[in-house]
Amino acid sequence: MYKLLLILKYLRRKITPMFAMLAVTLCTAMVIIVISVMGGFLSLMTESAHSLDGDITISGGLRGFPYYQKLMDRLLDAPEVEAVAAVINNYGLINLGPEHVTHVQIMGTKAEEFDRVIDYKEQLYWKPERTNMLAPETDFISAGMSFHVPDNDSNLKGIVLGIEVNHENTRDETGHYDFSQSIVSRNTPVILTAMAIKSSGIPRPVPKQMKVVNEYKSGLYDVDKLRVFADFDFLQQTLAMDQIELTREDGTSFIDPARVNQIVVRGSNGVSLDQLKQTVWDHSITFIQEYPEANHIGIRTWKERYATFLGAVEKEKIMLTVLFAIISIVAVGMVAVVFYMIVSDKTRDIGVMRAMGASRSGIASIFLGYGLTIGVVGSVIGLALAAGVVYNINEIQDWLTRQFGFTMWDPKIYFFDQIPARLDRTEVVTIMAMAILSGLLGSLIPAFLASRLNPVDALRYE
Amino acid sequence: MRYVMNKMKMGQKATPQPLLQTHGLRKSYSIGGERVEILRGIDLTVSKGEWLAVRGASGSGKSTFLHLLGGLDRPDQGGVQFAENEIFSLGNRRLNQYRCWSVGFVFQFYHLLPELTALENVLIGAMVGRSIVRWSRERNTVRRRAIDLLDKLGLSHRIHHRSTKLSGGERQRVAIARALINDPLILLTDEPTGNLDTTTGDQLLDLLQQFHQGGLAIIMVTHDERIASVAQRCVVLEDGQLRN
Ligand SMILES: Nc1ncnc2c1ncn2[C@@H]1O[C@H](COP(=O)(O)OP(=O)(O)OP(=O)(O)O)[C@@H](O)[C@H]1O
Ligand SMILES: [Mg+2]
Repeated sequence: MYKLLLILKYLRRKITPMFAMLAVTLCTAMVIIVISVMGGFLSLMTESAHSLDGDITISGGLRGFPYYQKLMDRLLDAPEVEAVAAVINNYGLINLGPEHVTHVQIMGTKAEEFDRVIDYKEQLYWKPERTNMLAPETDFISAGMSFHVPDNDSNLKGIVLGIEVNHENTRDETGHYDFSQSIVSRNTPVILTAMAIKSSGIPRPVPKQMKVVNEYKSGLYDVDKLRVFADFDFLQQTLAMDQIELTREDGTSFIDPARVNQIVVRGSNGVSLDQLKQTVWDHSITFIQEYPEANHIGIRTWKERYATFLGAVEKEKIMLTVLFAIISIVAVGMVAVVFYMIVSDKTRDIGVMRAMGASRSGIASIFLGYGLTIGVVGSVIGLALAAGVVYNINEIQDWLTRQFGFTMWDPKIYFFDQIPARLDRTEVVTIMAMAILSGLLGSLIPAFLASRLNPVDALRYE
Repeated sequence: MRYVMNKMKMGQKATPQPLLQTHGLRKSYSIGGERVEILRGIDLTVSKGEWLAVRGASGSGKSTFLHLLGGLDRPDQGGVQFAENEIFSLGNRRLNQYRCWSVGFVFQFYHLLPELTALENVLIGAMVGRSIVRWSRERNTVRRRAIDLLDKLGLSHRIHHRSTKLSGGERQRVAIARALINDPLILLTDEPTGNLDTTTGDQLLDLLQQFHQGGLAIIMVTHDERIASVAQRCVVLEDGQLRN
């Protein structure tokens, strides 16, 4: 009982422990903020990576594989599968002007079908709210979905560019792109040169004049500066991957079936990635047994596809957290120093308490309880502080920019226009526990020393 | 321990029984690398309800002696018996109980806890020996007793004042109240009037007299012959030995 009373009294009457508490508060807040921003960054990256190619891709290389429709039908019948889409995958060059040629990854999609697997429509950048003022009567979304060029008098096919494919696109202070600068608002056609792969495996460049009908932003810079979308049937024909009738030397004819490079699969709600992969795997096996021409297909989950990329960010997050946690040892040191001072300051009181019959463990528990309290209070304040910062991080950043013209997170440079940050419950709980532990740890040695004091020596202490 | 004490309190009036006994008590300190013998074999018996004064020059070892009696320090040789128990061979727990329940100790320099009020300083003496459960059960009784004691000592108007705001005499009296809160059998007090003027000192002695009449044994350390004469018996500490 006297322990509680003394802890309370010492807390209320002393300034020194406030420093220890401040150290705990700041370290807790710091680590939570860092882990939240990094975690937010990681989850944004993860989300973006997930939204690129659906849950699972079945790929057949640049030559592609035949009879894909059969596999797609079977997959669609499986309850684990929500949606599938066929994709033509190719590489080539895009010519946006005489001085402006860049390499691209070409995706041929049936946009409606594709949109059921990933939220393609969502990722089209020029939406009414971004263009209405400048081009009120053009529906860029449906143009981006159908690859039809609005008011087309030249029969050009539409193409959708990743937003960073055109170097002239630049982000303003708010992280948005300027429509009047965009290639979509211009009437100039572009030239896409894709690589048709013959059955011999030798590529043949096929240039096509096209018109940019929209742009696309996945959120991953490396993808958005590389990817372009065009119509599935158009590309299939252009690359000679559609079904054709061939004539043998003896005059008999045969059908060379249509091919695709990739099938993208989206799992049903509640189906785990592993479950889904198993299903896709099982169906693919039977498919290959039936159509050995397609036996070169490979199955990968989105996590497998982006493992190295996401792994790097994850490692960075862990490293930063560890780094800051090490800095937080300062808090432990601070608590230890402060407690050492308190114990020195209170030596005579300790002697009195011992003389009145307080046990060694009783004395130790006063200081441990004190340390615990400082840890708990410090970390709770730290959490509040961190939550305040994390939830308002973009406002704080805006304010800093306005006040001092100093930008931590420049949307012109960073790809995300907002600083991503979120609090994760397990992370927060772990950090709080560590902070409380550090309070305890810091008071451990001083508490032990206090308990070892001989009453008479303590009383003689000046 | 408590039971032993209660038993003894009942037997108190019959024959003067020994309450506290020392035999061959020795204590030395090394001062500047040299061992200095402060106490050189002290034999003393204090009976139940007796008031003993220990006189001696400054530095003669009076406080050292009193600390040994209170179980605050260990002798080099010899021992202290309280109610037939050798206190230094009790375990830590029992020794803490001895300090808490059997003796009341008033330090030469009071040593009140500066963060607490006068009342809290008294109450904490009672909290130390009680678990939370027991404390919450006996809280009100103890509190009443504390206020009562402070009242008797003329401090009723000061009970909620921080101890740092009190005068020397007031602190001395709070320290006495703290020593008496657990109703000990013996009060060990070190220079109870040392820092007080003559009038205040005399008032304090009157108060001690009252408690003594209530059956409390007192060992009072002083260097003042006049004060010592109030006690029933007086011994002098000189060259590490007790003389009558
Ligand atoms: N812990 C210690 N270490 C070293 N020397 C000590 C210690 N405690 C006491 N002494 C010495 O022992 C001697 C006796 O001290 P003590 O405090 O018992 O004297 P005292 O009789 O109470 O004196 P006073 O009347 O001034 O209070 C002194 O010389 C003191 O310096
Ligand atoms: Mg002394």
